Amino acid sequence: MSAESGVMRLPVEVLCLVLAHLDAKSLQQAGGVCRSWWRIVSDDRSWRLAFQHTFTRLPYSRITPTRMPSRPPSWTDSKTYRGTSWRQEFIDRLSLRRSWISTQHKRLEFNVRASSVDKLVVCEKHGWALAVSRAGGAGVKCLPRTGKVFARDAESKDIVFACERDEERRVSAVTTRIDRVFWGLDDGSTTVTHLTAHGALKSRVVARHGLGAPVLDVAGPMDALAQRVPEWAAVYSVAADDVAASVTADGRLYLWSTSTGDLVRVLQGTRPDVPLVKVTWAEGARYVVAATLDGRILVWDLEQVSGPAPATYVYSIPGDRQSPVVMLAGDPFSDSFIVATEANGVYRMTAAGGVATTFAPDLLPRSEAVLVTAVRWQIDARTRRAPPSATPPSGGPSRGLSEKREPKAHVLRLDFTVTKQSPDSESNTRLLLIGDSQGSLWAFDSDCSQPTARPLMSWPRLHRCAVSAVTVNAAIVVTAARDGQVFVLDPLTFQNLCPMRCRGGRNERRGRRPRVNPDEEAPADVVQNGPRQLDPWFWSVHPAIVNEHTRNDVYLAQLLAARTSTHWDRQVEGRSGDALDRGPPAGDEVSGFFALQQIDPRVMRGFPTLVSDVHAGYGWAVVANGTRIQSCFLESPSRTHHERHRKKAVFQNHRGLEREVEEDLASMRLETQGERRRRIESHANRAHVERTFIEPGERLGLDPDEQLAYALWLSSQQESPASSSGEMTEDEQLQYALLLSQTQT
Amino acid sequence: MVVLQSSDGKNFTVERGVAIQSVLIKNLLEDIGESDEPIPLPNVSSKVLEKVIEYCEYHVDDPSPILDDLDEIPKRSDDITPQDENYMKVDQELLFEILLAANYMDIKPLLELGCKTVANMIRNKTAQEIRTMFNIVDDFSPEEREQIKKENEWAEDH
Repeated sequence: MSAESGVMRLPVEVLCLVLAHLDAKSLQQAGGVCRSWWRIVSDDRSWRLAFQHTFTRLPYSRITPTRMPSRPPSWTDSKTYRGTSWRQEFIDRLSLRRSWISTQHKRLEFNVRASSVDKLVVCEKHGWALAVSRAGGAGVKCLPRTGKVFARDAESKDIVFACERDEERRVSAVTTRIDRVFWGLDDGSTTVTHLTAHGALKSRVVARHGLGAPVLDVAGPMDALAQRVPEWAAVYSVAADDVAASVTADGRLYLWSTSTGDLVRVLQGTRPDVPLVKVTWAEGARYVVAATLDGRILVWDLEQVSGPAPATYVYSIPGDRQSPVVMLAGDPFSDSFIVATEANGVYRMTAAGGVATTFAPDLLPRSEAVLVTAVRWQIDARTRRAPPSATPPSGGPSRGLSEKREPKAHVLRLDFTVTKQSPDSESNTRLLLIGDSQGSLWAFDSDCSQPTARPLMSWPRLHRCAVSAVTVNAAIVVTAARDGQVFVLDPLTFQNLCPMRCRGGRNERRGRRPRVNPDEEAPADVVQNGPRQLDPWFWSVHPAIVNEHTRNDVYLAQLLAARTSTHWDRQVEGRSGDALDRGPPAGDEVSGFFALQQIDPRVMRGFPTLVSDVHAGYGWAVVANGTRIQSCFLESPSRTHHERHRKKAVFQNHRGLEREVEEDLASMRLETQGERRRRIESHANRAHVERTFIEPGERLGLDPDEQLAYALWLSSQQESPASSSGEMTEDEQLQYALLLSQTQT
Repeated sequence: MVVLQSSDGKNFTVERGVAIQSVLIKNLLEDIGESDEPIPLPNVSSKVLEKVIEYCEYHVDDPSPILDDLDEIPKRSDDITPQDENYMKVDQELLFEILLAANYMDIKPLLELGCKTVANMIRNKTAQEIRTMFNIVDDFSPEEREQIKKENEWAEDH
């Protein structure tokens, strides 16, 4: 057969389709077949084609870095070349998917022994996680990869408390960033815990308003986000890293400095009797947005207002039902923010214009049946937004807030040109994920310019009960439902990559579907009298709880609270060995309610588990479920990669040694023959001397002095053949040697 | 009924449902309407066309493959039905002819099947084995080979 083989007649696009079926290794081999195949394998356009073909569409955001390397790619430097290519995206994503689908991952479930985990901070770089418990008022450091929980004793630096442990204050709100935890306490003060890169914890009270009204939400500054997306660092780390905001139940918004702890400004909401329940920042630190309990959105433009001014803009959430705000999240790049309420839906609003986009109006029929239970905005995706044209005229957002920061605030005027370098603008969709009480999941393009956004994809009835937490990144979507079911999904192909299951709830062991039927469990007196007989404090934090969890949970919490006020006793507390030693204070029903979940099976019968927080990277997912943390890690291919590189380095070192030896040899060649012989002779002589005279002494266990004497004696013996060593025993030799050495000295 | 004419002038009469599995023919029929004129397929020989029609007749009742079963993505290549596998048991020349024809006539499932078959042939083979199998000439210079080796280093562990 001639060289004109049949396969060579296939057009490039068909060959691409063929190669798209192959795994990386086979592709590598195929690339080595001949020039034309190599061109296909190395041409990025064909990889883009293969990507579309395999995953049905281009990615919403890339998992490989999209920025061009600083040096131009070259043939010889494969490391810089691989960065931006579709080929790499394809291979990385495929191998990631394969590892998720196959059982190449390691699962762990462990108890962090905190009374209940509400939030998680995960440091991807160093692998530790901080499980933050609002009820316990503390954060516990652990390693999700190994299941290690660090020491829980009071002196340990691996556990951090929100406030002094002897104080009668409780945590009513907690927000986590990558490097900080912000605690809001029920007396109106706030605390920030700084986390260093290696996870050392440092906590300090930064603001003590002490006005009596519980803090209901805290919004930290944006700098932590900057850590995650390096190109943001230039924009946010300086200008906006200092001011945090907290809202309280008496309708005030406090801005305070995280570095000095000073109260920078107090902003007044609508009315003192209307609590503010959520707060966030938008466009860096220019706008601060808060939601009231009665469904209004207040926006302060910090460049325009000064002093305790009323809100610059006030919007009401569309829809006629009062409903708790599930999520309020601001966009650091623009003045838009996402507002989600349980019953009325999800909206994108702009600071100056109100509602811009409504997400899924028909997803939420105006009935009580479907509620929004979980919303997540993929805010860390690279954005395609143009630089904000109306940059602050001078100063910046923090102008007037903190005087000494002012000069640096100019940094905010750096524009966002970095994002323009992105080679493909089409894969820069920021996803907005919405989970509802029926277990369905919806994903939208959050930057959609239409007034009504259509879902990009939907997973109807994915879970059997309400979605309680969801997270998303470029590679995977992780959702968790209240029955402890966790799914890892591929955002491009809707495929369920890896089902996980959290234990914890009593029902789960029998695989029964947990029923949320409060009436069945409710004691008669509670049903008759209602839960109004509870501690007034409970009502004051009520909105916060509604936001964190869902209506059914709150109702159950109320019932449980009512019940535990009679059933709670010291015995229960005595059994709470797993709870933090601070423990839930007796009579603190709401805090105790999570602790009860693991303590008293009678009370908790029929109560589902509650996945409170989910974190995920490309190759890992960590789920907080009650007191437990479940983690799932891929056996990272990068580790073998690492090892190979290490081996290579060792090999190179080895090569380095060899080279040194070679150089030595080369320099030796310069010596004259005589010198060389003398050198070798002296070397050989020394070795010979050591072997014949010194080593025998060592073997006898002599002191260094005695060794020397013995060696001298041995050498004298050799030089005088009259006395051969065979005629004396070792003891005699030794004595003789000692004698000799004495006479010599 | 539709008449298809191969490159060597042979006419094949097939049912409409069979013919319109080819998007090319489907579009053509929509453009020109029904006619008894044979549709010329200048890129397809009679031997290949016969084989392609065999496939289309066999799969005439298949549901249209419009992303019905999303679970099948990404494409797997071990899900070829025995019938299809049997159908694809032809010599290499004919296999590639079929691929070319499927590409030309735009018959997605057949193209997919062919690609899978070829991919299965390539999988887990070394470059040399692939060259031997397909009778491809190694036209790399030694320098290029060295560069490729360097470029592919990352994949060794995967």
